Amino acid sequence: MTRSAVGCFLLAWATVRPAAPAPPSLDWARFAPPLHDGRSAPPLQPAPKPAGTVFRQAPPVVVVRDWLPVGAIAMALPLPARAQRSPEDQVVAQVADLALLRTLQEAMGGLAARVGKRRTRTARHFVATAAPEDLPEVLRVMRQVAAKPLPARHVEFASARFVRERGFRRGSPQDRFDQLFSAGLAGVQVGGEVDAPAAPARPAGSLAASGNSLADPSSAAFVAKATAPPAVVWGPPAWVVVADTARARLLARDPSSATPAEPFVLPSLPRPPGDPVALPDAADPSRVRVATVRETAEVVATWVGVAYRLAPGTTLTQADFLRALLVAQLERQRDDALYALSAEVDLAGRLLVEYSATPEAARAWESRIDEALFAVGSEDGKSPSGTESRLARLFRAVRGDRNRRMANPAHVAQVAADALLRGATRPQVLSIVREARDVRAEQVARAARGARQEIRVEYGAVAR
Amino acid sequence: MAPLRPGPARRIRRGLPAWAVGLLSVGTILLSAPVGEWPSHLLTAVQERGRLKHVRSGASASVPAPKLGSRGRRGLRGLGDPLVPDRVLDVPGGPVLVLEAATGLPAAGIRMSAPLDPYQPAAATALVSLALTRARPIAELVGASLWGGVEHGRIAYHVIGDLRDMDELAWIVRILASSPSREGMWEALARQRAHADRMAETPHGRALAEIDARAAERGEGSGVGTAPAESLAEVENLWKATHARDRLRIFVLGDVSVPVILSDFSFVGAPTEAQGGASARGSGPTAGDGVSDTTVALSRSRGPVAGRAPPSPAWAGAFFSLGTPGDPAALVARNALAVGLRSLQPQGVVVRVQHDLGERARWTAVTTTALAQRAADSALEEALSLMSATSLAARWAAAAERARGALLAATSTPAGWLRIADRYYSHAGFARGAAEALEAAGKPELDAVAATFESSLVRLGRGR
Repeated sequence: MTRSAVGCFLLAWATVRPAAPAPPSLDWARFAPPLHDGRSAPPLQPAPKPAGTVFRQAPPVVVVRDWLPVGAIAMALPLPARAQRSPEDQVVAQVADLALLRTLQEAMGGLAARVGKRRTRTARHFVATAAPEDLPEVLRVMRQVAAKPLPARHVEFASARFVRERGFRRGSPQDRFDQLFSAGLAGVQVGGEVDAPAAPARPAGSLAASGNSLADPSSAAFVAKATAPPAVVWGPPAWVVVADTARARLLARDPSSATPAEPFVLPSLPRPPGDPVALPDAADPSRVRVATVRETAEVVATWVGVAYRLAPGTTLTQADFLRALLVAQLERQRDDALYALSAEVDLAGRLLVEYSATPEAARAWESRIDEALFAVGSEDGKSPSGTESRLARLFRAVRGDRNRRMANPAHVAQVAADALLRGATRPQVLSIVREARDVRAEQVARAARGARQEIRVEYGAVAR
Repeated sequence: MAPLRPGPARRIRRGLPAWAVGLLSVGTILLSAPVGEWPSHLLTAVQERGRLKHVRSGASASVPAPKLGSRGRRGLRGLGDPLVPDRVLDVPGGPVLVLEAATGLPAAGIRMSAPLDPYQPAAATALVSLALTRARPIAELVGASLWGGVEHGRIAYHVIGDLRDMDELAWIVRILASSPSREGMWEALARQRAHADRMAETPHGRALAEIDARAAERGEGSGVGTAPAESLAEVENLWKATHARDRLRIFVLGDVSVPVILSDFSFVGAPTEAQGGASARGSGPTAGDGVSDTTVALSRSRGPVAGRAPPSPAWAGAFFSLGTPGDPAALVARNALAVGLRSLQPQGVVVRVQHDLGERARWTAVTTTALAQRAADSALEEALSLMSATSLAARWAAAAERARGALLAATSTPAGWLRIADRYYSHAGFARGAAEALEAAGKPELDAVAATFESSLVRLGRGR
């Protein structure tokens, strides 16, 4: 059998076939909001689908590594904007994730493969690692699982665990802050006071009314939603395989598509209509007013989340460097008053910084974040004495850390799948994997200079 | 000798004795030619099997040559197998260098390990702590990941970072291998004492201390290391003995050329006796060296918890051997135990398992903690029953698959690859041979493990 015949066979094998009788495929692009450059973004909010609908899954993007002791496969499911706004969908996502993980682990029982999951604000990643020769089989198993309804026993197990954990977490201030911040980022209000001039009235309807209420995992509607095929409920997953040269030809039609591409520029998704928390300034539509959502509570800490819109033209990699630089700079100032600090870049291309601190220190830490951003933006990478500047030294450490992480195929697969979900093209995804080597400190400084605070959410105790 | 600054090879010559510079020059000239073209009178043996080239030159090495062979159904992979190092170079009077040219990897990793012989785990822990304190600032400068510890019966360190920072990574390794200084000594000892006191407050810690004492009675030492080191002299003597150049193994993973590696690492560690260094091999701790006047030997019995009533929970413990730590069958048995314990889940009992204890890292300890002694004893017996031949047989195949998956998954990161490469350095076929042995492990291996378990089992905690 020739190599091409083997390739065709495995490709067909890895492609999930619709169950007979085959209904028409869904056009997912219909649900994708247009991006500023005219391309289609991934479906952030897929509309409800009729029962029994199936679709054709996109072939995986294959990242080729010359030296690869272990390959990796990432399946990334989008976290739709509605899941950020709807408590019920949040619960469904949590339960479905655990059920999906258990289903994958069970399906890979006979393979020397490992699978884990990670959740961010933009996506849920299921990453499997396996010997390069086992990758085709692992990919086939994962794609089958994604297209089939989840076994009821796994959903029941996940629901039971969720209910158990919810008992411990009921009234958790961290959860409430997450809810407020997610809703604020999605442009809805689920509580607190909005401090924005001439803010429109709170949106009516189920989202606002749902407030703090949580879904009942035992309801029939919930079970039906949680057991449905993940790829149908959450939208088509993004697939990325990190393989060695020998396997790459078997897994993709054209693995040589690794041609240089234009860098993937972060999208600037339009705000949803009727957004109550952040609207373009009527006098200058290019400016966005800073809105603050504030809710006080009788707790011992203050949680703050800030979203920054970065300079237009900032690439995903530059934004990620800026995020890492910011965290590295702030970590060096860490004190006992700071409980937690994290940062990420969301689907809308914003830099999100979250932290919790003592109420007395919360203001000081917000100033430190702004100062750190300013410091990154104001340096040009050279000090007056001609020696390496502080930013350049920090940048070197961040670049070293990033390249170290990118040596892990599972991390590469996750980064590439994340870029796919954001709407990057295949060549762009392959560029992102390599781009870290070429990013310069000046580019990151430019992204920081253009950063503008867009939304600020504060929850917890107020300093007296 | 002070750690050498990073930079081109010529900088390395600074501070070296004349004979070393001469030897380095000869080495550099030699290495400008391919290995196969080196003068035969300098290379007594050149082996090339598969992809690996094993080069021995000059004096006989203290480390036995790795034997290549094949076990399992697939046999040793051919050229390009990432689980078999490219080259093993035995520098005369210097360390063994194990190289893997990971083409295309954006990161590089270096692991250095030395045998913990003489067996002084407390002094080794202090030695590692001092080395990490010296090297950490440089690692942070380039964003490199730094680790050190006692693992598999060896003192080991690794540093992983950007490939472009290879000079700095090599510099860090030289710092790690340099002699311990007084700086940071007292902090290291204080940390050890605090750790010993914390251990003494828990049932698990008490069980391990008892294991330590019982094993010491048998003249084997447990490796728990509950007693802290006594003085800097003890640590220095251990360094001289374990970090002698000809006892070190250095693993390099990355797209780095052989001449660079030889010039970077040929002279790390303590000079051997033949090179004018003092012999400390096999010597025990020596009291008083001018810096030990203020040290206080704080053993567990003199810690703050001494004399207090034992913790209220009841506990039971046992320790046993499953074979040498590098034995794949022992690895399968460990996984079988882990899988079995997961299915047991005794109510109200905490079961803890710790592997790699003792002089040859061959002991496994199991402790159970409960409110009632009967529950603790019962849970321990249940856990130990999992190691019977019948019980092992029921889970053997799944455990072997799990162990192979874990071994492969561990190699997905540079740090994991280096750890696995070091662990299976002496195994036939290196890590590939071990992975294949896991696949091939069957009834004879199971019986051997069960017999080792039965003959080595010691129960603790009875009658409390």
